[in-house]
Amino acid sequence: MVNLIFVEPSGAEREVAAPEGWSLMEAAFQNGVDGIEAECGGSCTCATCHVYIDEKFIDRLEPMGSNEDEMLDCAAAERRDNSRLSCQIEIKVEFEGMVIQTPDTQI
Amino acid sequence: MSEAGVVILGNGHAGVSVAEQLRRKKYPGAITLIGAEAGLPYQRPPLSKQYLKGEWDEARLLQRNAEFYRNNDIRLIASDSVISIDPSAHRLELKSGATLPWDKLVLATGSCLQKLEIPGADAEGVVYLQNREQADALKSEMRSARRAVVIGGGYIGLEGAAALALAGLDVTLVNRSSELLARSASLPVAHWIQRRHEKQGVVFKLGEQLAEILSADNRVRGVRLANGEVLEAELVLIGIGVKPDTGLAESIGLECADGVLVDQKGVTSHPDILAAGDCTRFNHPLYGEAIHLESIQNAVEQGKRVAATLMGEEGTYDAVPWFWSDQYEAKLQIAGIAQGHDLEVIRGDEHAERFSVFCYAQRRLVAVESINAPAEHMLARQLLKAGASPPPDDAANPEFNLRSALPS
Repeated sequence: MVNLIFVEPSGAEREVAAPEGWSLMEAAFQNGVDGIEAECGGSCTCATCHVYIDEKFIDRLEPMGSNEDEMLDCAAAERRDNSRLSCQIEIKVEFEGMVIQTPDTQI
Repeated sequence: MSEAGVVILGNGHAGVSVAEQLRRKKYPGAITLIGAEAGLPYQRPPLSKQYLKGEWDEARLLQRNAEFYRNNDIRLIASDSVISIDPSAHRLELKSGATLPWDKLVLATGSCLQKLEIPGADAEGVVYLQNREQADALKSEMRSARRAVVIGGGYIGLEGAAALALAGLDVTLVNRSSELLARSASLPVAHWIQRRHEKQGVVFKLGEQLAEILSADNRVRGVRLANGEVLEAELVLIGIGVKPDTGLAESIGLECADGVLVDQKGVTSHPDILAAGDCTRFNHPLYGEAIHLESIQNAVEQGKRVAATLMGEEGTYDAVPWFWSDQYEAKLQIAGIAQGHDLEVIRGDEHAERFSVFCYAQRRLVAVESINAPAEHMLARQLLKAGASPPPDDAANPEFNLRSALPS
């Protein structure tokens, strides 16, 4: 299990332990983290699992594919350099302690 | 407020959505979620996708983990169902014998499977795909079967056919209508999907009726079509649709019409009984008539509306309907409902890897179907929500920026 910290829109921090191989979105969703809608269940088709990734960890992520890039442009909240769709990020041990900020809105 | 609180019948996506939203909105009373199946509530769409392919296990299929329900004080009653409701006494009786009081009742009963009623339909190796138990049975049958027949060319039949073909089975799909997705997609999309399946080796028998399921020692060995043709198979998957589960609602005299009728706040004909998801029918402001939807989006969004109504919030339910289906690596996404449309224009090339079909009714945009074009799908949802209709010539022109059709 990998320990992750989600910061909800209210500023509340939620520590979540999730299995390797799951997506960040699934880790957040199963634990009911506020600020993740994940309407499409993780098939990169809705941009409602948009998150901001801890700058320190951003290089440890696989680069985004063209679909994700296109979808991020449709996200409801502001797209930043550290924006990702959490359904497209597979959890790895190197993510231990990563902080993930959820945006104010997804829809 | 009494201690009875809100009791939700059905723990699919709609039921879980109501419970979760009530807690997010700080509902102070008890919340009870009743489900007929064992275990925690789980997600349905992956049953015909990741779960069927063996990519996900049971834990990954769950909607929320056990801790979530504990932390949010949501009481789960599993492996039980309601046998009677007394609306005037605000009580219901469970199959297990228990009686539960409620202040407000939410029907999230979903759909009943349409069963095939022809000779041989109860043979071993004939499977359906609506719940996890059936998905498990199908997975187990897939391991030993070499040839499969799929009955029904809707989403379940097609997603099942894709999983079976990817698992290396010889797949034949039989569909009563001469087109796939007859109720739910335009012809360019249906034809694209058909070609993609054919590339994988799936054989189609379209416009054909099933006469009989052939079996020996109560074990399926194929099917016979009405035209006499026999298709041999060790596995028959049936996906001929579902019906709104209105049994309990009808038993207490709630107004139903192929769905539990609810208003735009999600309230049934009884003021203390609400309903959400696949079991409902309601007037949608975008479509002007009572519609019934079978989708995750509607289950979740209508569930949110019901929670808001229970909290006394104003507002009406007007979310743009949308649907998706994954088959092989292809993503089909539909925004809106293409009922009664009189014009289709294609954005892109219907023979390429990605394109969208814009459907208009009397020059008003009513639906957009996209193949591998998720950004166009997202824009289509925004256009429909805003009531914006780009002229058909513009929609068909890939150089035209769809964003410019949105009201600023």
